Amino acid sequence: MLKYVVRRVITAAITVFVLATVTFFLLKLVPNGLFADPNITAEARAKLYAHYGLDKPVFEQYLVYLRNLAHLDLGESIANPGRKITTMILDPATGNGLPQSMRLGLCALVFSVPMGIALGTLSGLNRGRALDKALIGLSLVGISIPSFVVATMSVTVFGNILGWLPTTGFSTPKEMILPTVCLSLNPIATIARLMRTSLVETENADYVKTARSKGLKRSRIVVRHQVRNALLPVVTILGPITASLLCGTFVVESIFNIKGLGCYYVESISDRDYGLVMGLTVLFGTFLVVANLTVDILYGLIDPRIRLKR
Amino acid sequence: MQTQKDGLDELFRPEPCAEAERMDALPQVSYAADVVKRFLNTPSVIVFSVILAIIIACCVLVPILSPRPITGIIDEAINHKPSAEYWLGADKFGHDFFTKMWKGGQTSFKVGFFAAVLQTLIGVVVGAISGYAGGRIDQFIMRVVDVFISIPYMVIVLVVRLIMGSSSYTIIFALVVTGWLNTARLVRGQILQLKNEDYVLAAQSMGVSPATVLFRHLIPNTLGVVIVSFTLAVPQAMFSEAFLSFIGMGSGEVSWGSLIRTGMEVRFRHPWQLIAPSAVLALTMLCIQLLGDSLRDALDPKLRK
Amino acid sequence: MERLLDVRDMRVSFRSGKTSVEAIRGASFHVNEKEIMAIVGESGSGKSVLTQSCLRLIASPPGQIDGGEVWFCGRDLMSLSESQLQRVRGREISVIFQDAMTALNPTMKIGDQITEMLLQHLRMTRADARALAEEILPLREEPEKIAQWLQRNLRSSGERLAEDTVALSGFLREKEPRGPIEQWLLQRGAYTRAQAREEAVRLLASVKIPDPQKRIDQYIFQCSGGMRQRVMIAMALSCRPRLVIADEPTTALDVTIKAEILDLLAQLIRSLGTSIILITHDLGTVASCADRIGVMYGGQFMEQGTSREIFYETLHPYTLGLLQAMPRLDLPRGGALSTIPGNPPNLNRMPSGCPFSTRCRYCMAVCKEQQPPQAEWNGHTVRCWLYDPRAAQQKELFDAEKERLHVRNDA
Repeated sequence: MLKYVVRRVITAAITVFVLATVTFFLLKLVPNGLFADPNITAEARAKLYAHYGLDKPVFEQYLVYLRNLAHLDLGESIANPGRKITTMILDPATGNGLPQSMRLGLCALVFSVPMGIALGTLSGLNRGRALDKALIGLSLVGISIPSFVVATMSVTVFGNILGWLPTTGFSTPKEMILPTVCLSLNPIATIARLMRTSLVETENADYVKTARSKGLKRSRIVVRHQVRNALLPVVTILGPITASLLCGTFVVESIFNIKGLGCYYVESISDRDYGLVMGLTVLFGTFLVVANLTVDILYGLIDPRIRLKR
Repeated sequence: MQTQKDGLDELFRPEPCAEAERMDALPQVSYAADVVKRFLNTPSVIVFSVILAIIIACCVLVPILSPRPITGIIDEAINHKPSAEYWLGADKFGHDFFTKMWKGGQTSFKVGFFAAVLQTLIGVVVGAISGYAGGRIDQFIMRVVDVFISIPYMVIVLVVRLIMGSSSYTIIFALVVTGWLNTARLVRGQILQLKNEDYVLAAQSMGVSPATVLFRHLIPNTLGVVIVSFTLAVPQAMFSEAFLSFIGMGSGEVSWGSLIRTGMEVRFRHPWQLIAPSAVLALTMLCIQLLGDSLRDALDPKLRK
Repeated sequence: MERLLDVRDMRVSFRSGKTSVEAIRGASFHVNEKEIMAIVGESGSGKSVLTQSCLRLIASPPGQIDGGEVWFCGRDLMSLSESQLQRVRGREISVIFQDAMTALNPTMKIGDQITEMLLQHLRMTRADARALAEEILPLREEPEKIAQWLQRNLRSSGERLAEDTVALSGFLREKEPRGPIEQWLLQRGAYTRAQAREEAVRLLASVKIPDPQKRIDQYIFQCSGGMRQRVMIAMALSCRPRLVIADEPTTALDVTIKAEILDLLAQLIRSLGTSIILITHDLGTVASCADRIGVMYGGQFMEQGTSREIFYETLHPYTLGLLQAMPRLDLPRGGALSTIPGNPPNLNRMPSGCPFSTRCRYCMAVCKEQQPPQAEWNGHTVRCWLYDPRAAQQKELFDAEKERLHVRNDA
């Protein structure tokens, strides 16, 4: 298990490093360079280049960038001169940026995982009955309808037309309902479908027949033998689910006007604020790597076949 | 035992057993025929295939046949209400929304189809090589895949877009760059499994060349998995395109995503401009998803009777 | 001899969509107390389906029991409710499956899989106590009967039995014995996790697993093939069942371990006084240990009899074919092994007559059209048209062939 964890951590570290490097050089490839605004004089531009350290050779820039990155210093924003990117992302003053996105993502994750597992189990245990068919239909719809369609529709209906829930912000509990639900529908459907499939598969597993031959009660067979084993594949998709939640926050943040990282990212690209783009890219990448790492380790912990492999 | 009057007396004569002819008489159902039969036997498959066919036909035909232009600014039709002439009204440029919606569908299908084809092809080739070669090559390729898979696809799309400018080919390129990873992993897993099958070992021991083993024995047997992953890649790519267009990072061409984005802005005065593209997009995704599901079930040898 | 299990005319079919195939087509057999009954047949002959159906273990759908009775200790298992049947499964009839690797839960410790069974069956619940008290009340003060009851229901023995008898007699003398008896039963039947664990260790030791204290906290994938099967056996015997169904218990094992496991099983069964249904596709496996043998083909029993009868007074051409196909070391080398031509029957296209008619060397026109009736001589049963007086011509050929085999064997 230790070896397994160490290997995963090393892979994760390499991944972050490669990601940072690739991002850096890719952004150097962007045509037109920075400060493409024709109104800026050559003199002023040279000054700006010097200010942001862009006049040095690319390789030296790269080393500086890496050193700063190691100190969690992402440099200065170009679109908002004088503001540190790290401060913008963390934004302790207003609570926008990272904290806002984290809250949104966590709310959705905490809501969708148990919900998806519960619905999938319910569906799998009632295989072939009306409830199962209804849940299969619902989850298919949940997977097929893009989250931004759900979000626009629900904002219009519940927010604007019926006026039940606020349409912007993410601070009060009431404000949190719609964004969380919109962001969760897709993961819930994905998890529920996988859970159902894997639960139905355990139904035919030999060890479940053995459990029945032992005279165990059905409730015990379901909980201890079926659900436990059926959960294993579900854990593996938590990584991709987290990734899709990350993308989902882009949409939900823009529709509900939440000042989170997704919002910043889209703005930074429109503004060509490369420092911010780079910082956020590395941040998102690192976040995903850590999420996948966590899922891998979690999987190792609950599956003895991996935990005990030497 | 007593002799009974059961009228069987004359049947007590020796007769050869008929195993040979019985074996010939067994109906031979090929795997492919069986799959097609089971696929088409699902009632929902027919319904959703027809719906999907209608949607695709509309995307192809409506923009060609429609008499109302959707380029330039048509002054007399700006913000036209839905009418017999303008079925879904017209937008702020005076473009007939019905025509424009199907034009948007073209972009969605184009991106979805090409991205899915390309990423499947690359994924199959890389995955097959990785799985079949094994050893160092496999290790290296899988590490690369591991690294790539941790990069959010949004990031790649946006960076590629920054470098290459915005067009639907940028989107396709970006989707392919991120999309082949899963197919490659899937195919590699399959190949690793198949590699130890007896018939592959037999072929190898008879001196069949590695390329022949790979292309004659291994890849054809991963076809089921590949087809399913392709059918899932199409809606995935369509979804990504719509999503990017929606947050304003799309191709710049008219697509369902960009129409929903503008529809969002005018949703109180022209609700149809939000509802119609949303509904068509959702319906298309539903159809493809469902067909993919049914196909997966049909291809599953475990369900073969 | 007393019949422990009596299966009458079982019919089981599998449904897929609109089509349905009959896997078991009217099979009857019985198992006597303390005997080893072997069921032999090729794969697909319905051995496993038949025995699993007796406990209603086949997955339904697609499986479906269309008819038949399974009498066990005076009850028809087919008419029991699911919860009543749960008390029979594992406790009175348990199953040893072929491949312990897949038949045991991969994510659960070996010990937990054994103790959950012990706790399920041996821990006394309030409802159990109430039901048992109901049985005790009519016994009054007859120490003989009380002791008998205790042996049967609480498995008391030795000193414990004497103590228990005294205690129960004491309660029965009271005016209102019901309450105290229930209390006593609950206490007597209390079974803690720690006790169950201890018992599990003892069980693992009894199947000769080295270092059971350590093994109990391991998972099944950490054990070798032979070890896994021992765990499976320990689990199946943990509640001291009256009947064990061993479904090809040694097929997945190496030849070297096979005999070892089989010996262990036979030894344990004998010491517990348990009966066993031994399912196998290999006549050689059962030759030495089985008391009686049933030969299955196409979902029916072709022939049933004692081991001796099956081997030396063979009645059915299929059984004869199986015997001829057994490899022998004492015969000169180079001679090809005799085989039964053709394949086991396809359940989708069963002949309307005898299922073996498609491969039988003594086939007659009647065999293809009509199912043969069952004939019986002193418990030795056979299903074949050869035993109709009108088939004398073919029967002569069969007898001659049988003679040849036995002459060869005797030589």
